[in-house]
Amino acid sequence: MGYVIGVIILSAVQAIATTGLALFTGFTGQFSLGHAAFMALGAYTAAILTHFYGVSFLFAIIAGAMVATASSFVIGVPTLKAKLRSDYFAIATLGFGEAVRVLLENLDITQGARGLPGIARLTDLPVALVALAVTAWLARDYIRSRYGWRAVAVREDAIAAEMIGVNVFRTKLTSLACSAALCGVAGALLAHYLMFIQPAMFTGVQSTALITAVVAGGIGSLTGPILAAAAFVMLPEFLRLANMWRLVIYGLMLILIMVFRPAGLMGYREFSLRPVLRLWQRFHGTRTTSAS
Amino acid sequence: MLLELKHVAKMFGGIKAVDSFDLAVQSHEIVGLIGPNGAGKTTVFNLITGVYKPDSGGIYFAGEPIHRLPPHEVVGRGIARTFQNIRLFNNLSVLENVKLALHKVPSYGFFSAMVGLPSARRQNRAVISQAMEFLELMGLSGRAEMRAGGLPYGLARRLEIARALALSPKLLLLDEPAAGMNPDEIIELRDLIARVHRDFHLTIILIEHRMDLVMAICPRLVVLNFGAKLTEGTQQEVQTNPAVLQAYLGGDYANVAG
Repeated sequence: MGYVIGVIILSAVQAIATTGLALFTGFTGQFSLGHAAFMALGAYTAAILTHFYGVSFLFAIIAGAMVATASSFVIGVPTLKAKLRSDYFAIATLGFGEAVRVLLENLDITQGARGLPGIARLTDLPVALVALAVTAWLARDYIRSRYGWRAVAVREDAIAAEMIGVNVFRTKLTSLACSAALCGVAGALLAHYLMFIQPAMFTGVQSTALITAVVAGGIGSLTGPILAAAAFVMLPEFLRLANMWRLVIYGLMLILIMVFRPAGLMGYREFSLRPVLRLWQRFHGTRTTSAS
Repeated sequence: MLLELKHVAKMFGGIKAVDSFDLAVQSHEIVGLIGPNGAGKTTVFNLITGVYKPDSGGIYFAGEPIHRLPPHEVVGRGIARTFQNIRLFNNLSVLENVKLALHKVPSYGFFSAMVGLPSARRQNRAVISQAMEFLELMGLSGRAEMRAGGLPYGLARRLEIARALALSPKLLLLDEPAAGMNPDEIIELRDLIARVHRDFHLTIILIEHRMDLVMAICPRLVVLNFGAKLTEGTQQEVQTNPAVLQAYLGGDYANVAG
């Protein structure tokens, strides 16, 4: 049972980070190959605060999110101000991710490449699920607000967005900051579940896992990436049965998604129980609740 | 003067796209900007809206210099435009296209939006009904939920104008709105432009090759050729100007006209 709960917690944590990246990639149209760095900064900040300074978990999470956000300005302001084309920007984030990892490997307080062991286990199932729910709720409010409208305008056509008075630079930076904050929260939760972190956990592999979940889950969707992130954490666990074939199956699934659903599983749509409910109602012939 | 361009010049490489260009537009005027292909008409629009920065000269809107402002701030001052090759948010619905243009209308801040305060939600709903009003005005309300990229050409033009009007501009720049339209559609467009000009108290600058449209709605014309102003004046003055006839028809126009 502990194993199943562990997988669910890891899924939730990954879903939080993926939601963050979905705001930036799925709704603002910017690709990042370095978002694991924001998770790393959140994880280390929170872990150091609870481990060495006895700060409460909630404040440690908030501090982790704040440090991640602050670092997003360091990479975001120069690259976005220079209007780097999206592929060049992605390369810049790749470099940023590596730079953060190297930094963590060489600082004293992070104990370098050996990692930071003995972190208190403060993330349990309720904490992870509540955090995911709050994240999804905030992200939904964001994309439904005028800040989200601006992001979508930038994603669809940056020139047309400028011509309806959208400050493209500020919109991208806001989205980046929000996504970094959520990745920071995810990192903080991860550290306090695994009880051990090291820089090697936050490499390009983790960044790629995030962007894969966003793209496979669907551009312009929140629920799609959340489901995809959870699925990509759980799937390898199920596929343990197939042992050596699991990476092949994993890769095959991605290819199939890209071929048959180029916009992602839930591209431009949200997962909703309403169609299911409607079907159920028709099947059972109950029309009492059809008013909604 | 609502808009003034003074000695504006813009070079691309060695080519003078716009050369010491002067333009003065009064409030509530409709000015036609005409000239052969490549004369620099769209460049003038790009200079006014801040997409390009002039190499020299100045652009003044309501008396204030705007030639150093980034495009989104120029739009904020009250200048809206449409594009020669329509630029809609194709993947979004017709309604959303107008809704996004109303992003400055709500007054809520970032945190009340994130927490989802009732006032923020109310303002979002108000924006949607406001967007619907613009669609109704343009005869697009029946297609509000349709994908903008799937609109037929004439309606896509209308939607682009609706989106520009949603910015509540003082000055509207229309870049070849009649391109690709048949005569019936042009008559509709003419009535539409006349109507929004009146109802929204707009000042309009119109770039257009279709002379039937230009002559129907622009009392005053400015003629550009090779980036410089050839002449300007009333329709009568421009039509009889030998330099204009030469630019459009070539040196031997007298022989062509017979």
